[in-house]
Amino acid sequence: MDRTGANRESDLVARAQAGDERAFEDLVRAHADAVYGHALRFFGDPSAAEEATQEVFIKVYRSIGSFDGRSAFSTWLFRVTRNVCLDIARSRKRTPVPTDLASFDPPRASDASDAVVLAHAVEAAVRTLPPEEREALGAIALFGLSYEQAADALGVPAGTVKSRVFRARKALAVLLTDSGGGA
Amino acid sequence: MDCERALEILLEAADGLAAPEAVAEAEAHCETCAECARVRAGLKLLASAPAPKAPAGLVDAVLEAVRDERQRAVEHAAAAVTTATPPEPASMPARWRWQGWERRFAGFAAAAAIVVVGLVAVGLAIPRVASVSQQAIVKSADEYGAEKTVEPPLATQPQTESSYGDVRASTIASAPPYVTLEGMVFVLDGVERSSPSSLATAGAVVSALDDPDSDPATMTVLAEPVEPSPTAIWVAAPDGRILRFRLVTRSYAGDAFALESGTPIARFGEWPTLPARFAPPTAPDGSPTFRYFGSDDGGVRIYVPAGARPLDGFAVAPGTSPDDPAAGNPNWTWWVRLD
Repeated sequence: MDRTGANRESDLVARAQAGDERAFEDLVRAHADAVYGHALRFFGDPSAAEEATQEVFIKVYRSIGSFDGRSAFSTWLFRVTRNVCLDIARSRKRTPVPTDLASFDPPRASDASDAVVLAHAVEAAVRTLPPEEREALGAIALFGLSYEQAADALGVPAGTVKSRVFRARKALAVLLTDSGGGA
Repeated sequence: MDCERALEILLEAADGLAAPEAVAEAEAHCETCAECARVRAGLKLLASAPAPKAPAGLVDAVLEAVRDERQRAVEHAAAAVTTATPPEPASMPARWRWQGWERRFAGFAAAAAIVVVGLVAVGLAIPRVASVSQQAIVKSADEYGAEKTVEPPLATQPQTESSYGDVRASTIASAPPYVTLEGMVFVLDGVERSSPSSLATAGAVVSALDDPDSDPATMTVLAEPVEPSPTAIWVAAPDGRILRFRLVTRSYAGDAFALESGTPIARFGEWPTLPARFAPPTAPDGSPTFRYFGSDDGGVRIYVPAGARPLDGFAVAPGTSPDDPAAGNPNWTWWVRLD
């Protein structure tokens, strides 16, 4: 996020903390895709992802006053999202999506130009990743965190996040072109 | 350039972190290496793939759920103040309506069970609504105004058979045995024959303690000198015994907030009041002085002045449940963050 975007987000957060409902709505609209995407990759189930998304924003609504701005809002939101998904998995016996290489069906080269087909293939490929790589990739690619921010949120060194993301991207790249003729 | 270096550059390029010259070299390597070319093609596919998008309608459902949350808070506050039975939610909260019954649940019983589990899991209103209707409402402002036998919420029972301890089971005018020190409210936590030798003078309180007829007396306050804002104080009573009090606090976002009284508490049984800098709200939702903000760590609704943040202090409406540190107080209360 550039400086202008960061300033706008800081302004939205401050207004939401002061009770501005419209500002809170703008924050939800700005981040719903990232939260949903993370939850979808965590559970592998759209229904569970929708439920988690609602819980995340209810939690954000309740506790936005405790956000002190020491980290970026996106970093805080990623942490909340991650914790909500883990809590749901613990308390409701929802099962995080397992690593499932066998079920991956790479797109045919002729289909890869179709955005819907490609998106579906990417999500299927993501499910083959180990959870820690999936999580690190989501922090960077969905929430737009820097490696340092993701490291802070995940509690691991930035170098670890970077290597996980690199491994994830390389694995996905290979899987997506594993149809024999490439894409 | 070898394959390892070429892939490293290609992967860094995905984050926009690679220098253009390095990328050009990696691209050139890919022209002669089928494996790396394949990874490069895969990375391009990956970069062009759309990220997951929240389904149409989910954002609206989220916002409706937030509005539900806000509305429940207002209804809760209104019910607490008017002592009317708070209405049960007229319909399923939006967060669950979104999913649809048939989509998620096989039958009503299963759905109800899961809804309850879901609401409990996120600390929503139903348990508190039930609690309010059965307990907090009983302790309404009117009832607390009447004389009755109460059990002050002492975390630690008095250690001796002191007359001060008897306040726990005596007929009093309502409030727990409070004193105020520099505006902050402390509750009796025990009676001791002597105080720890490490204590130092920390000021004075003015109170008649549990004597309803005497004028308030000024008593020396002792506290641990290492505490900038003492959370426990010892008061030397006129009869020579030592009364130990603890600061009345509640928790929000993991921080402790202490109860501030706008007026000194002259004797046990008097309630803390809202500081004079705040006009008493005229409506259950805290207006026009406050607006609802959210819930503290115990799930109690908190209110802040317009434009303020809870970390700067917040108000709590009357009618909190019996286990709450403000239980029974007919006044709005104000809570300030401890340093």
